[in-house]
Amino acid sequence: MKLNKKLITSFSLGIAVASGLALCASAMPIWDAKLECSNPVYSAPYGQMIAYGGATNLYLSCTATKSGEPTKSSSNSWAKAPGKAYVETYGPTFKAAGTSFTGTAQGTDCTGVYHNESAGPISY
Amino acid sequence: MNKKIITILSLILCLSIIFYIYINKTKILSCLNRTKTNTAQKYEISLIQDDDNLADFTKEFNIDVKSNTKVDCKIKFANRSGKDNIFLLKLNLNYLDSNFCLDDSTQTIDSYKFELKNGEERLFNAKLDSNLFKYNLNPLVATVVVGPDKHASDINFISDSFSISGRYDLINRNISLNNSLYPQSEEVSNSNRIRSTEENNSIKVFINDNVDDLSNFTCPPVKLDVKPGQDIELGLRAGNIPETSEYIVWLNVNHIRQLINDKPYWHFKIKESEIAFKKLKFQAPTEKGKYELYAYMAPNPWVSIKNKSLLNMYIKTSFRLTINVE
Repeated sequence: MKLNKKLITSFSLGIAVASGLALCASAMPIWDAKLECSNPVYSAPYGQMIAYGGATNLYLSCTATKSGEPTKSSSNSWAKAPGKAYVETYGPTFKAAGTSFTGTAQGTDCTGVYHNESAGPISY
Repeated sequence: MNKKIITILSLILCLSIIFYIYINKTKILSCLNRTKTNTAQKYEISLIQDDDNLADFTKEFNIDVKSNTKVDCKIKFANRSGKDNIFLLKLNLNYLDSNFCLDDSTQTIDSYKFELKNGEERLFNAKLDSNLFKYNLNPLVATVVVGPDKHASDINFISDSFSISGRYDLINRNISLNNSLYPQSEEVSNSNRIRSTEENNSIKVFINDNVDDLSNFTCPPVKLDVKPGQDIELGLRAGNIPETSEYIVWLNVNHIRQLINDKPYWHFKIKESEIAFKKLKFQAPTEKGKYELYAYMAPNPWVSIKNKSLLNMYIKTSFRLTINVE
């Protein structure tokens, strides 16, 4: 009976540790992040910051700047990052020339590390 | 007769063009709408505990502060950007530039410049003076600036992503929470704050040369040409973090703290979803050269990190622009 109790305790402990590790693994450090931009004929130039993977916290932003024009920016945040997350923003004017896009991903993982990923500029 | 031939030929030509476009539609559209992609450059920063394990930033760290001694803070930084680069490490305790000793050296420094190859990481054993731990809760902001010697005007682009910061809450057990008189924030007058809108919802900390219109978020020039000692006026806008009303903003010129109205930082309180405005007035350096100017913003400065979502605690950076003294 005593042995059984010990066995059960060790087994439970093992499961607890394993689930902890699995939880941490599921919220893996970061992700890869990238900035994708295009200049469609039917709209202002367009930028999208994309992050892949998990993180315990994730903040994404995508900014479009053009000299003399209002800065356009989009951001979003997740308490637990989804597998793929993105934010998108359009340039301030229909004409793409002179527009630059940048993207940022700030995140933290369960191992205690702050991550910062920055992409761009992509200029037109 | 000729007219008829020309009409038929024109029709055939038109139909051929339409047919060509139809056949090559994907090619033509992708040519008109070409996608450009840029992979992100990655940096990592973390605090290491005494037992050489990574510190959990969601917790407070009890530290032993004995008077007239040094407190160890081990900071780890990793460069996974794909490029070798030069970096600058700075430490801020309680949002003030803090001098520190590094590794075995007894020399006190305010920053440390270092080179790090892509894929490498480096551990810094920084030692801070115990008298800097003035409160029960002492937030430590470790910051690494990427390419400290580069200028926005040289690359002809202003970026708000040139640095990585980590915040860790260090608890001085010798000072009780009740005895901690944290600095008081200033109220921002109604005329110096605006509600956030869909247009400016993503603006967190922003500097430009417009000082007249609060809601002007026009991209600042990459370079400001000024004379030595000339008065400079810039507009600083900050706030807009969810569930947050208290902020600290500090300004750096060439990575050295620039006073804001004779104070080391601007500590203010606004309502949630608001952006505060401040006119920055200062003199340009007297020596000719290029100087980088940027600001950091810390939301919830003395709120324990364990009581807030980490998303509302990230340190934000403004655009980095060049002051060219000529």
